Amino acid sequence: MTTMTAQATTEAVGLDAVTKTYGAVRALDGITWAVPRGGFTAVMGPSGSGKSTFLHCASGLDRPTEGTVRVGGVDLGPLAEAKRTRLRRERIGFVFQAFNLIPSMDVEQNITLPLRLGGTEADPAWLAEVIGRVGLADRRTHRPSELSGGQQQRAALARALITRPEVVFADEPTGALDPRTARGVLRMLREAADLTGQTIVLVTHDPMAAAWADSVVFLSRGRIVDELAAPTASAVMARWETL
Amino acid sequence: MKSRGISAGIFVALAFAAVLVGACGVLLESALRAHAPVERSGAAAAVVTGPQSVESRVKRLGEEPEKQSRPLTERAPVPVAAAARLRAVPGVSDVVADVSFPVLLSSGRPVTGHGWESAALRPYKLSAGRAPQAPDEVVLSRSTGAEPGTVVRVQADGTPRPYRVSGLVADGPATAFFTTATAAAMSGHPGRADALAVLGDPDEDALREAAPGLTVATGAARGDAEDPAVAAARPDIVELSASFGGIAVMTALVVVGGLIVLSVRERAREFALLRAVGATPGQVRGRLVRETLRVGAPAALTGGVLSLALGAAMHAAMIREGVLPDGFGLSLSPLPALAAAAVTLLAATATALLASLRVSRIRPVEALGEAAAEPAGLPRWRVVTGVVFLIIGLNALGFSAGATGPTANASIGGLVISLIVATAFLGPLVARAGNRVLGRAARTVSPVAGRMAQHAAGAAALRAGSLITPVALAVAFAGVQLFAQSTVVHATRVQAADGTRADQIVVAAGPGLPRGVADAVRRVPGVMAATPVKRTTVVMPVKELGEQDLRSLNARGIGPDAAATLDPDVSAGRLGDLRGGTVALSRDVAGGLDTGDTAPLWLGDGTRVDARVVAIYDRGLGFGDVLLPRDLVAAHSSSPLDDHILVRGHADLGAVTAAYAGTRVVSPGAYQADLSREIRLQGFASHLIVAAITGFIVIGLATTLALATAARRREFALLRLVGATRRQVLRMLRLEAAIVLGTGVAAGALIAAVTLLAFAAAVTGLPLPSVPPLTCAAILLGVAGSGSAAILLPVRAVLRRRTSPTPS
Repeated sequence: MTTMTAQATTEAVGLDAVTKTYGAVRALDGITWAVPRGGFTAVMGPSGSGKSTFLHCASGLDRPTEGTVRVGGVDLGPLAEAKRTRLRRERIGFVFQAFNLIPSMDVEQNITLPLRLGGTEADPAWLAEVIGRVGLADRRTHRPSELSGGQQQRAALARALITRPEVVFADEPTGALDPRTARGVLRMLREAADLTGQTIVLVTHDPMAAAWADSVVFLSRGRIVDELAAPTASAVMARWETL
Repeated sequence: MKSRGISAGIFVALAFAAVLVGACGVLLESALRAHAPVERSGAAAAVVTGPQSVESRVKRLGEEPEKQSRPLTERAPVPVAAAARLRAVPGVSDVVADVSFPVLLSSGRPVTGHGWESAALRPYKLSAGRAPQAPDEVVLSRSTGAEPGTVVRVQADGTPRPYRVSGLVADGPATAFFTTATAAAMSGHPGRADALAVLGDPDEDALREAAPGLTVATGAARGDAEDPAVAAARPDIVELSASFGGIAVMTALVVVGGLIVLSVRERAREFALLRAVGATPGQVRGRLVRETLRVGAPAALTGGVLSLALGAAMHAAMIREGVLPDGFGLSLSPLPALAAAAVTLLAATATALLASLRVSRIRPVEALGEAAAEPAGLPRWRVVTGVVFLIIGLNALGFSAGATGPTANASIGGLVISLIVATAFLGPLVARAGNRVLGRAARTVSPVAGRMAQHAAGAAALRAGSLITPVALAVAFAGVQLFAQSTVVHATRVQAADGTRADQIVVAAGPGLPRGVADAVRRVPGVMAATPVKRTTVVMPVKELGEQDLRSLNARGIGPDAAATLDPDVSAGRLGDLRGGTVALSRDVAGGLDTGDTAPLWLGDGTRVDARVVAIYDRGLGFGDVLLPRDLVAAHSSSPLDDHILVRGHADLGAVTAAYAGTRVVSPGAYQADLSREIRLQGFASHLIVAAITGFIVIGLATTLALATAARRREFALLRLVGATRRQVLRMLRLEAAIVLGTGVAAGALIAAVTLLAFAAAVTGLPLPSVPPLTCAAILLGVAGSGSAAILLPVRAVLRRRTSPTPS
């Protein structure tokens, strides 16, 4: 019990011996890992290393075959789908690579969507701050089709932040952006971690992106093979080459 | 945007569904409210007749006996003696015993004969001359062209006799007024009146008390006492519009359901994203249902309003073709429109809920992938439901094999519906099977494009499934409805032709043939037999599958030497024994009855008789389900006249037709041509509605196909980018269309074939249904043609624009 409370105070997300198999394929092979609260962590690995499965299991989008996943100290295992959804809505934010926004809703509606799904209204001051931070204050009533790719990703980031989640999972958020626009999005992730202590997990295979994080975890064949604190692009690159 | 196209499609489909349902509702409401027009009894406070319907308790399976009622098609007479008690009711100034009988003027014009005292009921006013006083005097309507003082020849139930025109009446339906005594004698049932018309201002309830067991009609209902045709047609129209309304709802479920499934599929990624950012499955389902309602509510209301117009148009067409009796009025109220809107909305919500079950299966992780792949496999509940409906269908097939007549008819309706619903649920499996067979053929035709087409059609089995269902529905529905009808017409013609032994037939141009005609024909040298035939409707409880139903049956009264002129294919007993209180029944309605048993039945005027069954015969379609002695039928009909006379022998009947007005001799062939035209006309109402529903299905089908194709814009653009020529893409689509439409048409044709074979065997006794090749080709070409146009036209537009693949 004491260990649980200790864990709850230090970890945002915890995985315990998590295994995920698809038929004969072991996508995750006994992963035990804790995402420290307030940290900006990058998860790297080559294609097929289990990055996406890791993200799906850690965020409660998918259930592991074995092992337990805790978000904010709550074990996701016994929760039914509706309860898991509610927990995800309140405690986890998502940014994906593409198709991040609902085409029929404007920017503000997209950003406040998780709150409205939970039946609450956005706090106007917080909404204004989040929208201001991602630089879309003058784009509130625009439709996604009227935005550039970078603006769309920033709107998605604002949506992830609006609920003040336990953790934001970003899955290759810069994969479809040019380097300059990508840097803008990454800077905003960094700011969220620095200014409000937002926990962020960034899944990527771009060493430049990973270098924005506090630490980098390397995945290979469904296992964590290494961890690198205070990474630089060249250090990440060097480690990457050996995978 | 793509989803806007689908919304428009759903709007159109729902509006059409509401139009159809509402139009059936208009017919239903009209049927419930219709009365014959009040023309001769406008001045009467009430018209008292015998009971206008037959009521009886019938045995139902596992239930209490049920009270059922059928209307009479002939006037139910009332004893003149009852007038005395009506006169005693306070407020009654007079009671007129009204008799009605058809007469034919020498000009060939049919008019209705009455006693002069009936003139007060409208009231008819003399415009010239005076009332009839002598037995050979008559007052005619001015419209007949008669002049006062002249002598006209009038034919009632005998040879024409001379009457002197004593006066004329100006307006109203054409009438001949005789003295009371003459009219009573001419009507053929002295002591009984067709109606007792009450003049004055009596209390309605007091009248009812004074006339126990009789029908007291006031207001618009007085028209039904004048002419029972409208009241008699009502139950059939009620049944017809209710059953087609049900079919329209069912069709709407399939068509709109297909469109909604398509839209869910189209938006799978959007729903997955919603799920990922925290929408519960229930929230996504609620959103889908709300969106459907947002489109559905205005569509249903629009359709509801338009349905009033279609209902009025169908009513007008049916009056024009004589399917509905004149005077069957149209009732227009907001009720059918509102009911249609409500039913349509309910159906849309139900299909949206059903389609949204799929949404729960969309995993949020699908939003993370770049491509939303077609979900593989069919959910188990769909397979189970589909198989259940298949079993229900096959069960109905077994049922119909054991049943005959209308019960078989009803179970066949159930058969075709359950088979179509089964197809809807198992669509993807059907698509896969069709793809395996037709895809191979496509590959043989064109190796490259054919392989691509087979892949596209096969990879998207779920999509193809929702395209195949409306195609199969259109073919099966139109095929079964049209060919069941043509099979009945064919069987009737065959039975009538095979069973008629007459060499010539005397038919009536006017209201009918007087009693003496048959005797006169029989006396002509060279005539071996002459059988008068009088048509009527009898009500009888018919037992089928352990349940009894009170049914109105086509019946004929036939003269004593019927065995020589017609052969209804007697399988038990002898037609020659048909005299007195006896009856011959067709196999279809005999139920458990055998020769020697007693059949309880009600004759045309509502008189109950317990008739001894003397024969069972097979040709019920050709000769009616009930054969009775002619004299029994004539004594219990509104008119004593015969309908036609079957004559054996080739003698010249010129002398007879010269002696009687309005008679002519036709060959059996010409007579049967008339008969089948009449049967075809009876099917006019259902043809009208079948055409409307088939039109709706084809519209829904075209919308579904066009939207499904337009939604694949990116796929086509990608094919072009990787090097497929425009021609190759078009060729691939043509082959894919052939595979999908071919599978749908084959499935529909199979359903229609199974149903029609069962129908032909059970209802008509023929081994094969009658399928006119031209109609068949029209159905197949219509469905396949509009289908391929809907697939190929949007593609041409997409490819011409040379779009590049843009993610959206």
